[in-house]
Amino acid sequence: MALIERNLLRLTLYGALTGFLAGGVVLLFRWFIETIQAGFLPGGEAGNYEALSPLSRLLLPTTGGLLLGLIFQKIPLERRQVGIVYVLNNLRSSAGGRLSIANALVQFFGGAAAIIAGHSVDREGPGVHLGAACGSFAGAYLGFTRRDRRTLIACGAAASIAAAFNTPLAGALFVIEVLRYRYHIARFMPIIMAAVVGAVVIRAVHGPYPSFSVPALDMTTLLELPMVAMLGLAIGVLAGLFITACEVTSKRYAHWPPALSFTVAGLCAGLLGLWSPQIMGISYDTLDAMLNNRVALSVVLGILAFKLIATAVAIGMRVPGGLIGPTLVIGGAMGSVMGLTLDALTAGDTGSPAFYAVIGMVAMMGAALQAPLSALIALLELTATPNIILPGMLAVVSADIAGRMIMGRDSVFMVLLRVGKTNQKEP
Amino acid sequence: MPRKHLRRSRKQILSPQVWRTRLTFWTGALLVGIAATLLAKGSDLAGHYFSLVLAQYPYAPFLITPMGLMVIAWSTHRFFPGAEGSGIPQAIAALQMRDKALRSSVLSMRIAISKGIMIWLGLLSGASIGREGPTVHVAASVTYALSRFARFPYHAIGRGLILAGGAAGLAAAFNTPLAGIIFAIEEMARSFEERTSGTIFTAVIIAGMVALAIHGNYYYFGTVNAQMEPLHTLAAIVACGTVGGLLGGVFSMLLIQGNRRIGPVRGRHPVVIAFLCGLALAVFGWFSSGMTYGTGYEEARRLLEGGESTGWAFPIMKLGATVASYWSGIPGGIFAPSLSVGAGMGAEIARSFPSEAVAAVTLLGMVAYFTGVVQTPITAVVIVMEMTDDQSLLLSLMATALIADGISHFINPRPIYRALADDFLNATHRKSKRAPVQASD
Repeated sequence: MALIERNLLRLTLYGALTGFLAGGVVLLFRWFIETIQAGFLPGGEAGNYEALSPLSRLLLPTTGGLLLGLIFQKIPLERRQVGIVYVLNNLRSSAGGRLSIANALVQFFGGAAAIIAGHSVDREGPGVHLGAACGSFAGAYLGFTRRDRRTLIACGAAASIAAAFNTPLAGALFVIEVLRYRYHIARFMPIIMAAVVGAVVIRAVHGPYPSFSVPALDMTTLLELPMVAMLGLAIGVLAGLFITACEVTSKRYAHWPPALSFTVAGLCAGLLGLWSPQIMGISYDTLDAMLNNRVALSVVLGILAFKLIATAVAIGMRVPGGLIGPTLVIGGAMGSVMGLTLDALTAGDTGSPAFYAVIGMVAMMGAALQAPLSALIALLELTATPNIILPGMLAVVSADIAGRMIMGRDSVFMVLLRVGKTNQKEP
Repeated sequence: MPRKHLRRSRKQILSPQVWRTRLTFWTGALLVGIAATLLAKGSDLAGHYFSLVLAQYPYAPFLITPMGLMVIAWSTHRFFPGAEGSGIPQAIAALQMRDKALRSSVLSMRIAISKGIMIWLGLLSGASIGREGPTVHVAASVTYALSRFARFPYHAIGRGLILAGGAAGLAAAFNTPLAGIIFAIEEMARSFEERTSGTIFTAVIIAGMVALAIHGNYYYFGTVNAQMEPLHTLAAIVACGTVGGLLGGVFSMLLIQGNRRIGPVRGRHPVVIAFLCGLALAVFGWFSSGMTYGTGYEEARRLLEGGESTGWAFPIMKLGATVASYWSGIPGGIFAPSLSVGAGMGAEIARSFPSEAVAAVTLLGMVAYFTGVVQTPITAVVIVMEMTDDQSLLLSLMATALIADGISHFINPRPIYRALADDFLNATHRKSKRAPVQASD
C-alpha cells in the first residue's frame, strides 16, 4: 500500500510539472500566432480578418494552404499525424504511451500556419496535442513505465484544455470523455493537479478572466424550457450534419496530396470568407460578440452556415488544426439565431439572445464531441451562474438524443479515427 | 452508411418497445423528484419542530433523543433490517450484486418507504443525520422497482437504473444537478461508462426539474460572494486541506472501525446501544447549546453568511454527534452534517488568516472536510461551485480538495462508502447463506 501511495505522490508531482510545461507551451503557441497576426492584419489586431480587402481574403488562405501543403509533402506520412485524433489513437493502441517530438513540431508550426492563413480551425486541438507531447516527453525523459507515461499524456491534455479556456475542471473531465481515459480515483489525482497548474499558469499571465466574457444570464420564465429543448434538438441535428460532412469529405478526398487538399480547403474558406469574413481563423472575437448581443441576425445566419461548411472541409482535408473552437462558434451561432428570432417575435419577453447563444455553444460541444459533462462544467466555469445549469442540461441532453438518432454514438474524433484507419489499410 | 443510420433512427423513433422503456424510465425519474422533494420538506419540518421544542424545554433532548433513537433503532432492527445507515453503501452494494433476489431485497420499496419515515422521526428526535444518502437509497429503489414494468434488456441497464436513481436523488436533494451526476460517476460507479451516462443525464434532468418546479429556484446555502486569488492564499489552502483531510479521515475511520466493532453488539442489544448514543447526542447538544442537532444546514448557512464564529467546539462536537448517530444504527446520512462540520472548521481556520474573506475560507473548509470524509474531490468542488457565483475561487477549491484527498488516503486506504458497502455485502451474504429462504423472500 505504501508503495502505491508513494508512486501516486510522485506521479502527482510530475503531473504538476507536466501541467506547468503544457500551460507554458499553450501560452507560447497562442503568443506566436497572435504576434504574427498582429504583424500583418489591419489595425495590428489579432483575428481581424474582417478588415482585409476581399481579394486578400481570398488569396491569403489559398496561397497559405498551397505553401503549407507543399511543405507537408516533404514530411513523411507518419510525422504528419497530428491533433486530438493522433493523441486518441496513441492512448488507445497497446504500443502507445510515447508521442514523437517531430509530430509535435509539425503540429506547432503547421497549426500556427493554418490559423494565421485564415483556415477555419482552432488552436485548442493543436494545444491538446502539444500538451500531451509535453507529458510524453517528461515521462520518457524520466524513464516511466508505459502506464505512467499514459497518465502523464492525459495530464498534458487536461492542462492544455484548462489553460486554453481557463476552465480547470472541464479540462480534467475532457480527458475522461473525449480521450476515453478510464476514470480511476488513484490515477486521477495527477490529472486534476495538472489541470490546476495549467490554469494557474494562464491566470498568472492573463489574469483570472474566463476566455469568453459571458454576462450573467438566466431564463426569464420556466416556459422557456421548451424553447431550450427545441434548440437542443436543432443542435443535435446540426452536430450530426457536421460529423457526417467531416466523415464524407475525409473519406472521399483521402488520396489527394496535401498541396491540393490544403489549397482547396483554403479556397473554400476564402470564398465563403468573401461573404462572411468572421468565419476566418479561430473566430473567437465573433463568438465573444455573439455572447454579448452585438451581432445582427443576418450576419449570424451567414456565420452559422459558412463556418460549418468551411470547418468540415478543412477537417476533412486534414488541415493541421482543431475543431473544438469551430463547434463552439457554430453552436453559438445557432443559439444566437434562435434567441434573436424569439426576441423579434416576442418583443423582448424572453431571455436575451446571449443566453441562447451560450446554451447553444455548450450543447454543440457536448453533442459533437460526445462530451456532455465537460461541456456542462465548462458552462458553469465560464458563466459562473449555477442557475444556467438546468437549461444547459436540457439542451445538452436533447442535442445528444437527436444526434444519436442521426449518427449513432461516436464522437467526431472517433469517426475521424476510424476513417483514418480504413484509409491507411486501403492503398 | 446514411441508410443504416436512417434505419436505426426509425427504430429509435417508432418502436413501441423503445418508447415503453423510455416512458417507464421517465416516470421513474419523475417519482424520484417527487420523493426527494417530499423528503426534503419533511425533514425541514421535523428539524423545525425539534428546534421549537428545544427552545421551550432545554432539557428535553435528554429524554426525547434517547427514547426516539431507541424506538427507531428497535423498529429498524426488528422490521426493516438493511435500512440503517446512509443508504449510499447499500446502493453501491446493490450495484455489485449479481444475485437478483438479493438485489431486490436491498432495494425494496418497503425499505425505501420506511427509510423516509425513519429519517423524519430521527430528525424529530434530534439526531445529527442528513437526508441526502437516504434519498439516494430511496431513489435507487424507486427506479429499480420500475424495471419490472418494462423489459430492460441487459444486466447493465439495471446498473444504469440504480446509478441514475442515485444521481437524480442527490441532484434533487441538494438542487445541484451536476454534482448528482459527478457523484454517481465518481463514487457509485468509480468509473466512467459511456453507455450509462446518457441514462443518468435524462434521469437527473427530469428529477431536477420536478424538484425545481415544487421548490422554486433556490440555492442550497444561499449564494456566497467570495473572492480569492490562489497564488496569494496558499497558506489558507494548505491549512484547510491539511486539517480537513485529517479530521475527515479520522471521522471516516471512526465510522468504519467503530461500526465494525459495535455492529455485533448492536445485533444483540440494539436498544441499549441506541440509548447510549442518544444520551451522547444529548450531552453534545447541551455543551454546544443545541447546535449539533439535526442536519446542520442552519449552522452552515449562518457561518457562510458571515455569522459569528463558534469556536472549535462546534465542528468537533458536530463530528462526535454524527458519529454517535451513525453508530446507533438508525437510518441517516452523513452528507449534510459533514458539510456543516467543514463550515465550522473553515470559519475557525479563517480566524488565523484575517486578510482573507471569511466566507471564502469557510467554503474551502467545507470542500476540504467533505473530501476528507468521502474522498470524492470532484464532487466536493462541484457541490460548492454550484453554491457560489464566483469563479475566481475554483482553483483554490480544487487545490484544497486535492490536498485533503491525498491526506485522507493515507488514513483510510479504502474510501468510506466502499468500506461500508463491503461490510454490508459481507453481512448480507453471511445472512443469506445461513437462511437462504429469507433472502429470496
